[in-house]
Amino acid sequence: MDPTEALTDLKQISPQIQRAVIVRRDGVLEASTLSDTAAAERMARSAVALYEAADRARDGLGRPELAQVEVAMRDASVFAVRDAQRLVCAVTDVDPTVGLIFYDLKTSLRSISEAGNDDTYPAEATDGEA
Amino acid sequence: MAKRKAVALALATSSLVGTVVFRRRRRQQQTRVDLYFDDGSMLALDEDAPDAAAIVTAARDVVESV
Repeated sequence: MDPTEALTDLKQISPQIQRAVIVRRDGVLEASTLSDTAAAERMARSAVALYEAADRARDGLGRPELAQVEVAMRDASVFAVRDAQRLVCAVTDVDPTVGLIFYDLKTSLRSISEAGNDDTYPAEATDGEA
Repeated sequence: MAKRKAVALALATSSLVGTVVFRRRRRQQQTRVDLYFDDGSMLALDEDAPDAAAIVTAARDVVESV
């Protein structure tokens, strides 16, 4: 499954997810649920910044390797999960089912990795959301 | 006697439910950061924690990127 297909599946199985991006470890946007490419690029950059900030905090606290992050805010929650190749970041409604969201995000990454798509990175929108 | 027990049970139950609802609403209104680590442990940071500021700022940027 390529990253675009993975996000299409993710949106179908996780109605709480409003939008999501998949970003390679080198920062290149691979896929997004947004039709606005500029917005997708902004979200991808912010997602990378989020994970890096979380990793700095982890380092400062002397904790083991970071696996995943959730930031719960008053109007939305942001989730980020990373594997060896890429980062997936999603924005959800308020008070989502946290375990389920993490499971779905990890499943997306695994489905891409298992399909051997580690060298492809077409940045395409999966639906008409702006 | 049975009536007193019923009243006491009703009070205890409503108190417990009220506490759960209050904590849940309070939790929903607060910004917090949950970090999950490879060893299975998790750390929750309040919005005011020094380590949380940059993370919350980036998360806000993610939400406002559209």
